[in-house]
This record gives sequence, C-alpha cells and structure tokens, in this order.
Amino acid sequence: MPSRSSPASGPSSPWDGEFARYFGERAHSLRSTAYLLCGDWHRAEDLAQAALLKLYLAWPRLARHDALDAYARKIVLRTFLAENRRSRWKRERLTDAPPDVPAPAAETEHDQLIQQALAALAPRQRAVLVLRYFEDLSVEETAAALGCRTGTVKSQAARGLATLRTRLGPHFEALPVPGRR
Amino acid sequence: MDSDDTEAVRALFAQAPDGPPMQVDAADVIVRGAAIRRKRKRWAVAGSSAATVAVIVVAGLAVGSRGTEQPPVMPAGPGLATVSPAPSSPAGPMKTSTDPLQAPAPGPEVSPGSPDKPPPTEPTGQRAGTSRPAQPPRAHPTTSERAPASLRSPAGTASLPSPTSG
Repeated sequence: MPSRSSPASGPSSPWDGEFARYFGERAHSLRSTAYLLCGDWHRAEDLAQAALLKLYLAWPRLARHDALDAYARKIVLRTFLAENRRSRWKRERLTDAPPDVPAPAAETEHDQLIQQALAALAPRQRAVLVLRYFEDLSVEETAAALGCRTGTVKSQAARGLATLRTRLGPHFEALPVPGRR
Repeated sequence: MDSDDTEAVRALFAQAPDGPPMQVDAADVIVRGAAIRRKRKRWAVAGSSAATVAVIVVAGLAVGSRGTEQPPVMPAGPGLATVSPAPSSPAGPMKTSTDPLQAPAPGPEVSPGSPDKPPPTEPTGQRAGTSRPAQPPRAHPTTSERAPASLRSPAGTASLPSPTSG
C-alpha cells in the first residue's frame, strides 16, 4: 500500500514564503536575545530555533501579524524559562565540538564579561534586564511578556542591577556610559 | 545612580557580539514544522477514528445487553374452558373433580385446566367447543373450573348439580 504522506520537501504551505521572509529578518535578533538570556551561543541558537518552530506552527492561527516580534520574543523568553525550570540532569548539553579543545579565539574579553555577569543573575532577573535594557520594553510591556505584575518587574530589575554591580565590580564602573567620565 | 546603572547595563548589552553564523535556516524550520504538522494531523485522524469506533462499540454493547437482560416471556396460564356460576356448596363436587384421572373421559373439545400440567398456550377464545371469550386468570379458581367436563354443558352455561339434589 503506498504511503499517502508527502515527502519532507513536498507541497509547501501558503505561508511558507511569508515565514521565510520573517525568519531572514528577525532570526539573528532573536538569537541575540536568547544569547543574553542564556550566555551560550549554541543554546541561544537552539532557543531561537525552537521559538521559530513554534512560531511557524502557530503562523496560520496568528490574527495580528504586526505583533509578531512581541510574540516571538515571548516564545523565546518562555522557552528559556521553561528549560531552566527543568532539573539540570535532564537538560541537553548541545555542543558541536569535543569538550577538550581550547577556547575559540573569537571569544573576547567582553564575551567573558557578559557571561560572568549573566551567570550571576537568576533566570528571571536576567529576563527582566534583557527585556528592559536590551529590548527597550517598558515596565508594563515587560510585565506582560513575563506574565507578572509591574511591581515584580521593578523589584527584579533593581535586584538584578545590584547583583550586576556587585559581581562586575570595577568592570561595571568601566562600562562606557554616555555622560559619565 | 540608578540611571547610571541602567545606562551601564544598556552599554553592556549593546556591546554584545554578533556571534557565529547561524547554522539553521528557514528551510530547516519549515521542513520540521511540516513534519510536525503531518504527525499531528495523523494523530488527530487516528484519535477521532478510535473515538468513533469506541462509541459504536459501547452503543452496541449497551443495546445488546439491554435485549438480553429482559426477563423471559412467561406463558400465560391455562385458559378458562367454561365458566359457570359458583355453586352454593362447593365441598362435595370439588373433591371428586380434582383428580382428572378418575374423571370420565373428557370430551375432545373441552380441556380442563390442570394446575400440574398446564396445556400449551392457546387463544382461549378460539377453542372449539367453547363459546365464552377469554377471561383474565384468577388466583383461586372456582369449583366449576375444576369440574369434570362431563358435568359441564357444551355451551358452558349449565350449572353443576347440587350434591343434595340427586
């Protein structure tokens, strides 16, 4: 009996072109957001891919395509928080290289600085800081993305900033802030 | 101070590198999404088919069990061959008429109702030799119902002779 299932490269959906265009425009931005959330490029790419896959599955049901960025950002955020809620031994450790090789030369001092700073933060504090100061969302928008109240966003942001200042120490003061010498 | 902190964090995040080139492109996501879609569709079809079959089986079992659980139909009791007026003193003839073996040979058209061996059910109103329509069964049949057929009139309207009369 012949199989009725179409091959993987079979007939495409009518929204594939639209999704491919959005992917080309926003995939890097989503991956950067994911990197600031997790501090690992491989995991960030995995998060971005999972978020874009969920976005593709939900594409025909999306009524407002003008709010795709917020929706995709929320998917990345919730996927990251959901992965952090799992127990550590269940988490996949993605790597494309053997573990006993030297660190790549492309990793700069700034990368290490960011990774140290992000590692000092709790996942939810990290998410608040990324949404507030990287995505430039307001307190209300951040609260809506995280599904919490505005007071929670403010308190988490304050605690995150204090932790960053304590953790980075002199590096925090050395960051190039406009208007500060 | 807070504004300085926020500006410092903005500067920290703004200096984030671009990272390595992405290993995933839109085609990969579309292929995986289409596969997931097909899988979900197959599960939906299989689930709805299984649910339909389950409903049909449950309905069939319910109807079948309802048909078998009905109590068996009991045959009706012996019909009344004749009905005569109740005698004034039923003690005498009742004893002589209870045993159908000692009774004279009954006529072919009259069959006394025996409680030990009920005859097969038959329409009481259609029997030959009986002119009376069917009556509802009685819990305590009268003596006239147990009387020998020879004492009855063919029409079923004659009364029993009184034991003192003859």
